[in-house]
Amino acid sequence: MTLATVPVVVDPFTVYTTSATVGWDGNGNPVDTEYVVRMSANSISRVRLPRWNTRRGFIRRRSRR
Amino acid sequence: MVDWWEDVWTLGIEQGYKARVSVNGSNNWAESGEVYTWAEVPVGVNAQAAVGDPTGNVKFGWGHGTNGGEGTKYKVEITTQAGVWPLVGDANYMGVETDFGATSTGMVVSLANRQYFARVMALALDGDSTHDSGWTDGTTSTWTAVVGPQEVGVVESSSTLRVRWVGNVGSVSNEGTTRYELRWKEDGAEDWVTPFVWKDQPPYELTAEGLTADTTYVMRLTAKADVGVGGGGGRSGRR
Repeated sequence: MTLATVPVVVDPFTVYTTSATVGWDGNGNPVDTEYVVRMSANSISRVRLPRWNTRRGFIRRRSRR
Repeated sequence: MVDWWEDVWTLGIEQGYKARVSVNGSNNWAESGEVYTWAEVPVGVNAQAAVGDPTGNVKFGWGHGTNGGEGTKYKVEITTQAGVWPLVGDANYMGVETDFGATSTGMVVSLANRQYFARVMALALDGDSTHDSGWTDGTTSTWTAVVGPQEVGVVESSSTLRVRWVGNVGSVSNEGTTRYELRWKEDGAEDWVTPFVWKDQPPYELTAEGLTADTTYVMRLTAKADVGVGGGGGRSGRR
């Protein structure tokens, strides 16, 4: 069994006032590969380091580009 | 063709975020750069300087609303004509943009006895103006105090007392249609003579006529506030 490759996050992702869409390239992984997505909810301060929260999300949508 | 996955997150307004993605079970994360959600219109714009504030200032405040907090920048515009932005006729104070620690600001203005309107927008943290909030409705207003007559002088004759004055203190002038009223009475008399005389356009000069020769008169010259309390100015003259 071969190892999965690290996905590639496109930077920056799309944001609005209250939502964001995080997209990434599977980078050669099979289409049924399961991913984990985490979002930092760091302070508004631009100097404070982000603290990763515990929320996790799973794939809701898949598209081709 | 590239496979592409997306995940939609619900976030707070005007806050910074990063995303991480990994294959489930792996600890190899791909990480995005930091991005910022867009700004929302601030709330509760209010006049914090009372009507007729004698300091020559107008001061407005507002609330963050749903925006992120202390780091949010706001842009403020002030005008003397409702619905016409930015300020017409006094460019020194238009388009002020400040990083406010507190959600309020004050501005020194040059027109006394005048109504000022303010509107506010929140600026997007990413610096992209298309992500700014848009303006509040701009209906909040307050009035500056009227300036009392200044440099009052009296020119005497046998039957008249002519009063001259200016309507400004330094660079702060009364609005151009401010009304001035001149009343007078003999020294010791109880009632002011009627009718009094008034003027609302420069040159600022009014004359008490029909006076008795060799008599002392008390004169009262008043600048009338359109809203609030008027600014007075008194002067005695001996005809």
